[in-house]
Amino acid sequence: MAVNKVPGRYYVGRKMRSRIYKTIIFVVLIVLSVTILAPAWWMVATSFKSMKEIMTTSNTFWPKHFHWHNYVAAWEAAPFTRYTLNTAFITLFVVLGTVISNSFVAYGFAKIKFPGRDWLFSILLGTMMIPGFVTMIPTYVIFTKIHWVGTYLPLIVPSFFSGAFFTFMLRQFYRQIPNELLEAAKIDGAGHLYIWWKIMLPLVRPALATVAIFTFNGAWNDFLGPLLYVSNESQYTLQIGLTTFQGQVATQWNYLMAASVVALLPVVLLFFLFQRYFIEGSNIMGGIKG
Amino acid sequence: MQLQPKATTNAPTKNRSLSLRTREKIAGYIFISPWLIGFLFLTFIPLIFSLYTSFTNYDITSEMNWVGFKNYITMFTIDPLFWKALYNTTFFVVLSVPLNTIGALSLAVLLNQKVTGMRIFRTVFYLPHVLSGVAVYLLWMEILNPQTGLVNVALSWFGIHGPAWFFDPHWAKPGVILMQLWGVGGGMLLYLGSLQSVPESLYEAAELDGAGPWQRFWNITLPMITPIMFFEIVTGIIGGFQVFQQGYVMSTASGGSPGSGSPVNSLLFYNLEMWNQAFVNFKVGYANAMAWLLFAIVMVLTWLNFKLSKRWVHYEGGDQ
Amino acid sequence: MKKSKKSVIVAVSVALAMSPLLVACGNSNGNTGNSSASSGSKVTNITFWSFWGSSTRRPVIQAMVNQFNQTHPDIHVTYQYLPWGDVWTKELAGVAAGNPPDVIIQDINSVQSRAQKKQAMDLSPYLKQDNIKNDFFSSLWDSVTYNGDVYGIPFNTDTRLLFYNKDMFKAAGLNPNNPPQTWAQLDADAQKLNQKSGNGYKVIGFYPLWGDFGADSWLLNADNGVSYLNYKTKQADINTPNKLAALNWINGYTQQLGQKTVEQFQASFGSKQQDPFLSGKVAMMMENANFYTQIQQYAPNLNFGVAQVPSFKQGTGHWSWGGGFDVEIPVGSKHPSQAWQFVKFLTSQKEQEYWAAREFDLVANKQAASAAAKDSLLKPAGQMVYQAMVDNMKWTVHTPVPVWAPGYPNLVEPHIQAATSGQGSPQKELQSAQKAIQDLIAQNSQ
Repeated sequence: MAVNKVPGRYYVGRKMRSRIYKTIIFVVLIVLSVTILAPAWWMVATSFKSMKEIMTTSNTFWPKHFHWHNYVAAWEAAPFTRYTLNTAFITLFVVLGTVISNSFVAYGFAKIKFPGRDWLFSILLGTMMIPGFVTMIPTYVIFTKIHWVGTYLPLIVPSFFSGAFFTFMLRQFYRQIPNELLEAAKIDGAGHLYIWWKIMLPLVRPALATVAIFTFNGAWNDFLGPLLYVSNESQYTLQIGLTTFQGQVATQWNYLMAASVVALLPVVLLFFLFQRYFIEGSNIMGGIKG
Repeated sequence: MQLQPKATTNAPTKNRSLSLRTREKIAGYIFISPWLIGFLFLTFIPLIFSLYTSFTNYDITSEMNWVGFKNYITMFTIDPLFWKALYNTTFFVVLSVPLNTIGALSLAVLLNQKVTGMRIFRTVFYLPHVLSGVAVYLLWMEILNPQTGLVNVALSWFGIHGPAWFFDPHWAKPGVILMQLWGVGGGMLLYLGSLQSVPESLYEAAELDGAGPWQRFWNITLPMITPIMFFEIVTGIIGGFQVFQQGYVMSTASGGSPGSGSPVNSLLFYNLEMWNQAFVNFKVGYANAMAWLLFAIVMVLTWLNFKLSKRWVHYEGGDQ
Repeated sequence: MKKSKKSVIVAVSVALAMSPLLVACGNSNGNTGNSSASSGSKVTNITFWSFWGSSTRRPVIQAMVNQFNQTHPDIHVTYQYLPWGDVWTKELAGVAAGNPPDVIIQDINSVQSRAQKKQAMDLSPYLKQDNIKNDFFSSLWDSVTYNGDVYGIPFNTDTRLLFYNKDMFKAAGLNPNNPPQTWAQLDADAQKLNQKSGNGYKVIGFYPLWGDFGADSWLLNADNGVSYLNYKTKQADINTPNKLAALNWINGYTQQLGQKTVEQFQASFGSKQQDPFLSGKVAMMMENANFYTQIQQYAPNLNFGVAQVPSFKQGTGHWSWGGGFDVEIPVGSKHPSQAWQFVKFLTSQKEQEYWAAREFDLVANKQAASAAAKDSLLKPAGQMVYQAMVDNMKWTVHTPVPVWAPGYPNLVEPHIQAATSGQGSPQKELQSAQKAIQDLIAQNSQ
């Protein structure tokens, strides 16, 4: 089904069939896209409304007037530029740490045999099964004892020690790669570090890009982490900033939505621009040839 | 990180004195060392602490006395909400995991075609996964509004009277599952990455043998992506048992207080009950006992999954 | 390969360019330490956390903090906004780790459990020097008292009133200056205010569960102000004839209007964004009195009145419900006596009045509340509503969660929901709720 290269023998009927087939897919995609986008549009529509319209008229999908100024007002309601920079700073390191450490550790679990490996892997998986808030307070106490509370270190450093989810995921990708490749490299005298960096990483590039985009997403939207560990408002992140629109009495929905839209733009844009890394990805065989 | 590979490019020629197998073992430990160090220093202590406190009346700030198995016994015999929470969570996992898997995979296959505007389509389908925070929950309260919500309006076009969703205890969980399904773009991305790694030569060979699109999908594509399917299912189950945020926020859709599991406890998921016990009632020892019971349940399920995987998961790299 | 190397280099250089951020953050760590910024006299730095971060709350609380800093040169308070709910999770972590803030705004209904769990400091020693007990509404003071000691000073509270649309009253031939006083009158007025159109309703006079007065509030209104718990006898007081009558009364409304109508109307404001009273779809609604600020902002021309909650029967009392917040010093604060200075300041009459008038918030300090009702910052309508809320305090019941029934609301709520949504019979649900809470109390009083 996923074939896109039609070998040699073209003939008209086939071309026609493929065209019809593509049209059907196109239509299905359009319909699905509308379904997916309708909810998201509601968010955008709200961001342009006045509070009065939100409070007093039944919700509509089209604002009576487009209050572009909402965006300016929302952005100026809190130091959002500062918050964006803070968020970007944390996210950058977290992505870097996560991609490097997980791809490294996962290689060990996937492609090297050593005693206790399966046990250690079970423990790794086990860490996923305990809800985060069980360890939240003890972890906070540890970070307090080493004087990291009040800095971004508790948010960034753990990402350099890999984690269960992405290690497991990358292990699965590594295991899709035939071992013959490794053996050939070993015979040529390559060590594991070399194989990992030079052979494996290029082969799992789509997976790495996925890890990067997931991590970016997660770090960008992280809320509780920064909230717990930061002790100064100038260190706040976007997600914390967004909460200022939710008042005790009334929420400023229009500003909340406007700022939310702006806050998620970078993630959407990033995905749009970088998707070729995991879409036009590296075919295993292509990787070998290259 | 950049310097290491260069430095070790020459490494294989050295250290001839160590046997190949010993070197292999050492390399293994070196590779997993970042995780091991992180685990020992950041995770192990809090985990053991929480296991120990599950046998105490720990409340974080004032007491921590040994109570033996009392917390575990209370859970099974006295707590009226424990079974409800376990049921709700199981219901959620049983429905959401298969639906997510099928949804994500179908979407990935669709998005793996060469059709005009694919970059935009992919971005669109990934979008829900990006959206987060209170805005999304609000959005869903709106979409699943019994009267004016998009879903019920669309259903009424076909003459179907839609359910009251978050106002009806029988439909609140399906509502949450639907929400979850909307964000299927994350799983889709993984499958897409996996589909990209299927060697094209396999397809070419199959086509020469006269295999049709369906056969090619069934015999080539599907087996090749089973490792990722397996990953999705295992992590989907683990994550499903920890569903929290949805229940916490959507409790308010029917006018309940956040975390109450409203309407009529139908959204009281296991982790929600744990949270309430730990951070509302400060019965942290009890909450930790709940956590470790959940751990045991999920561990058994995961072990079963790994056992079963031998039958259907195909690793191109062999079973080493 | 080359490409990805390049991008790593770019990433690292960006990171380096931004590293001053990290350094800056590292430095701002010590937030409770003494900084000798001002030459000479020693200044004690204390931190103050609350969830007031919106554009209406933030400037006012910040102004109060600045005022304190100016008048107390030896103490410097740093205000930090933290999101609602999470602020208390962070406090808990801070108490556990020994680095809590010095002063925090907390939920007044859960003071007693924080007292028992040694999270909030006992303020009684300070109160021996500064006896301010009588400055506050007594029911609020009871809420912050545990075993005879005081663990927080009340800051603000709220109360529920009946808001009604005077123009609709006139149109329906009712006297706009004579709002309903009893449930029977409420029912009669509601009937007249209903406006049908075709099979459905265009306007609904009244529906008990809309607005900010849940079934639990109606139940205590019916039962002479006794909530689910009897605080004196430490018993559950749920399965009573009056509470059953209240549930049946609520269900009567649902039956009369029809579940579908209720759903339809509820749907139009289900998202909690749109308000049916402001948009003129509902003529009478129970609301938190500070709802006035929303009328001001979004429907300034609405001709409305406020009234006490109608009583169950003639003379049974206009019982209403209220919550609120208090100021606490967490256990582990490094500078409790300086923190106390600030607590006293925040709850003083002058500061309470400053807050009350600007936020249209019912403050806990009695004198301040009475003064605020006459404050020139308020419009006549505002003064009228504020006065009504001060007067309503004598009917306002507070329902703190006692240590002998932790988490009881989550156990009762599902039963009441089932009883009001047709999932279960009121009688049975009250019985099982009664039993559940008795069990809970038995478990926690061993």
